[in-house]
Amino acid sequence: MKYAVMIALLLSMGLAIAKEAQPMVGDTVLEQKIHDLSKELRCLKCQNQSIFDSKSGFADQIRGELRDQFQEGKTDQEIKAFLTDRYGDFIVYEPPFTLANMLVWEFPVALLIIAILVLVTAIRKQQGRTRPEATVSDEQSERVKKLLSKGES
Amino acid sequence: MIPELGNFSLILSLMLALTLGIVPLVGAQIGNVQWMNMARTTSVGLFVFIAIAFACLAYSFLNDDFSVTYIAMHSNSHMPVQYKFAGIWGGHEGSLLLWVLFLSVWTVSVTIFSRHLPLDMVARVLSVLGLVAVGFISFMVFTSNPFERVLPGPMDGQDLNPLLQDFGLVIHPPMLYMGYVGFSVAFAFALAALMGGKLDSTWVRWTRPWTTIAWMFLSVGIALGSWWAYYELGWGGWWFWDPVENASFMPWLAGTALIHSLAVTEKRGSFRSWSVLLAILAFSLSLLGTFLVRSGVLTSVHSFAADPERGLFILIFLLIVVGGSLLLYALRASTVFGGGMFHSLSKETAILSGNVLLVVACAVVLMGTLAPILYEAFDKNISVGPPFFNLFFVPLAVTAAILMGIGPVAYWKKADPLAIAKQLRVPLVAAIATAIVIVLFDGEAFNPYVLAGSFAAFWIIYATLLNFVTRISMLSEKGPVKNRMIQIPSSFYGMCFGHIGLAVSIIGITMVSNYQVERDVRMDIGDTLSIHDYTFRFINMEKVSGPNYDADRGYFTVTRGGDAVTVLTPEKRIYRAQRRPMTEAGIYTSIFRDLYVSLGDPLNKKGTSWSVRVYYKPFVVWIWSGSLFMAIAGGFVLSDRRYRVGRKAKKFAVRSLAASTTG
Amino acid sequence: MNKFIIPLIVFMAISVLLLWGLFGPERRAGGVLVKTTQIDRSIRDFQLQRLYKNEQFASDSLRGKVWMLNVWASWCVACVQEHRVLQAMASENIAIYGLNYKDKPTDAKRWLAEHGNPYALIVMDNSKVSLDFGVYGVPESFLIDKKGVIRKKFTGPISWKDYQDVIKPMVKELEG
Repeated sequence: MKYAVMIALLLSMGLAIAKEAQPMVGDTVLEQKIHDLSKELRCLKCQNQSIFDSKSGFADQIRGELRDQFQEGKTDQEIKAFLTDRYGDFIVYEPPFTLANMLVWEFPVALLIIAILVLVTAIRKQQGRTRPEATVSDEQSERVKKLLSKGES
Repeated sequence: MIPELGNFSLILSLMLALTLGIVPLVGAQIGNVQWMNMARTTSVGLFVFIAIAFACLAYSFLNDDFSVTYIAMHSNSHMPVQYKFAGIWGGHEGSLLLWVLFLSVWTVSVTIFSRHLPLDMVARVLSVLGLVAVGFISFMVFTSNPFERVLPGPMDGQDLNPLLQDFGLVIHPPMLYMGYVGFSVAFAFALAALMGGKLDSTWVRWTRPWTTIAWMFLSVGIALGSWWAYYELGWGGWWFWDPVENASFMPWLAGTALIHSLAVTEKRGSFRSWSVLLAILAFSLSLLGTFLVRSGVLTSVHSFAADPERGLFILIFLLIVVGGSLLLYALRASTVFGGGMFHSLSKETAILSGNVLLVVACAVVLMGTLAPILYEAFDKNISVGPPFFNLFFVPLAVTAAILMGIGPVAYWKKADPLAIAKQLRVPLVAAIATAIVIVLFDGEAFNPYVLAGSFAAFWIIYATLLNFVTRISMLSEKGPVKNRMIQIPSSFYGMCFGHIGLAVSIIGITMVSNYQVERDVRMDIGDTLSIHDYTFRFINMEKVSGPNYDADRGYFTVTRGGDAVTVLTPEKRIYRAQRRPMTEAGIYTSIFRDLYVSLGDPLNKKGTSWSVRVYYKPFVVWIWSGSLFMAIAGGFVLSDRRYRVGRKAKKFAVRSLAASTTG
Repeated sequence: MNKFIIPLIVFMAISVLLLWGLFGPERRAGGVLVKTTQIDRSIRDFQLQRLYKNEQFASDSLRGKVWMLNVWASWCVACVQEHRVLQAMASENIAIYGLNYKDKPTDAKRWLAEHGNPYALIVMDNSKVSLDFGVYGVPESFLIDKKGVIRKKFTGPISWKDYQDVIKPMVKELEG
């Protein structure tokens, strides 16, 4: 009897405990913020992995810091500034919009503009080479017809 | 003994490569037929000895010969046999041998299929390939020899990195290398043309199939790499703009520009110097990729063990090969200039614009990849990662998509804007409508990226399908649809499949990037988690063992509205030799979504509570399926009648001979 | 020639960059050294629990002294490498303060008992302080002057060369 009760209790405990999985942190909004920002940060110890992806101690530390700062109400920008102040621009995957980095950001645009200009110029130039449509005189077309018919027989 | 044989074979092949690189080339310059003829036999010899070297390494791997340093570092007696074989290319030295093996395979193929080419061209092409081989083989012999021994050998090997002990290793590098190496053929043809000062239809007709095959392999190879990262790394990502990924993407962009440029050169004779430049560019980017991966210049998860001295060797090789070919180009490109004229609104312009976009995209990727080095020179560290690349690729892709709709319906030489507008107005409206429906369908906030991506993809699909239907209807006199379909040249189908393939990938990328759901949760046995209408339930945990690892395996049932969908079994493994942990995700793949579960860490000693990542990935398989379409596209292009030159030429020759004798 | 020479020029420029990239930057095992942003900046003062005494230690008490902050851990293999150099430094009266990073006090004490203790004093990191110094791995060391300004950072173990050629002269100079 005792055993039956024990087993019954154990089974019912199992049912009672089974619940909706808890997110790692109580707040899903907070969780999402950490999730998103950690993807934009580089794990400095690793060979090119994000803080989100890395399992290293450094990444854990940074994730913890993100958690604390988000809970204090800091914004993405403020946290990035905090981290780049200590670790340099390298820790953020998006090169910041400083004057020095304009080279990186403007390059694609500048290149595209130059490429389009070159393209347009090149097409126009080779168009200019177009000779006027050669006109065939009637006499010439007669000769052509004769030659063609000769070949076919 | 066998490793020694392999080493000896390698050295012999170096000598053959040297001979191949020099003798026929000189022969072509001075007109010595005997020397030029040596090209073919030497190429075969090169292949034979490389193959022997490769076979020796394979034999040593499969027989657990740990006295070979490379094998001791990358293998283990308990490793499953397929990884012992694939382990040949699991590290730097061995992967070089694979590279050279494929190079010799391509070289021999050129030997076999070039019977109808003029001798001097064949000689030059094979010589260039030989010179490339010299570079790689000497790199191995002098700095990275896979046959180096350590005596006495260790009892057992250090095991291959667990991440590599996967089917992905068996197929991804070979496919990728076939692509990289394949572009060397187009490169060799380009140089041969510059040297000979002749770029005619023969050249194009011969370059195009080789380039197409290489491009097919590279497309599939890149897709495989992305897919492998997705299911192997456990975080559900499929592209990280990592320097090594970029190193493979750049040749692909250049290669895609090349196959389109060659199409124009073949049809209209224009774009010749541009085709030549692209051929040089595509292979140069392959070589640059090799440099970036093996020199340690950039931080990447993929890089092989870095060594600045090895890097220097490759850089010097790059300078000689690429610098030399670009110098040749600078000097001789004007001799191959020419071709038909075209109006500013024409198919030529559309394709040329597309090429420009591809090259600009390639330059952006190159700049983004090399920028960190540039900044280091000025004592600053910056990172250029996904946010940068994604920002520029979205508008580039949409613009390219627009061109893909217009180009195929534009006429050669001079297009009729009214005809284009008339043909495209239905696809345009349909694409906009489809995009709006998709954006509204998900009931979530308005997403401009989804709108743009859907429009781009469906614009391509509708425009291409309509183009096909129009062509079919124009052939009404040929009878039933089936007959008409055969009348249309295969290269047209190639174009359709290629463009639709890209559209399919765009759909996959758009959907996954914008609608994926990722949840990091703590789960105890019995807990459930819901994403959309799927319910995941963690039911059990057990310990299992594999041949060279021990693991914790979780069991997760997935149900949808009460119906069972699947049971996922993600694992957390510890590989015994290196004591390295690794996650093996549990994935359920279907056409419209992937369900993905990955184990994090145990949260209690009993192992009944774990941190788990659960992902819902809509349309993710579409990303890689697009590359299958592209491979099929390549197949169509290759089967086009125009390339059955050999047989046709013979037939024509016989007929005209008969005609002249009787006439 | 004209336009056809452009690709060659672009390639040469890239090659120069790559050549520099091979030999120019300082390397650390596994990649390029991340340049610190902390040079010539005042430290962010801290108060941390000591390892051996049950009391707090404040960094501002070190104003007027030239000292070195060494970030280390018992689980760090490279820390053993630099340990002898640190002991030599300590015996020549360079003040070294230890910041124990991601470690357990019992393990730290055991490690010091086994390898020797070159530190004037050791504090336990609280995650914030190491972040403030821009620490991302161990070992790392900071040379700090009398005004509390960081003058030099060493990422990775300090070698004999670092000690003889850089630290010794710098300390002399900073002591005035």
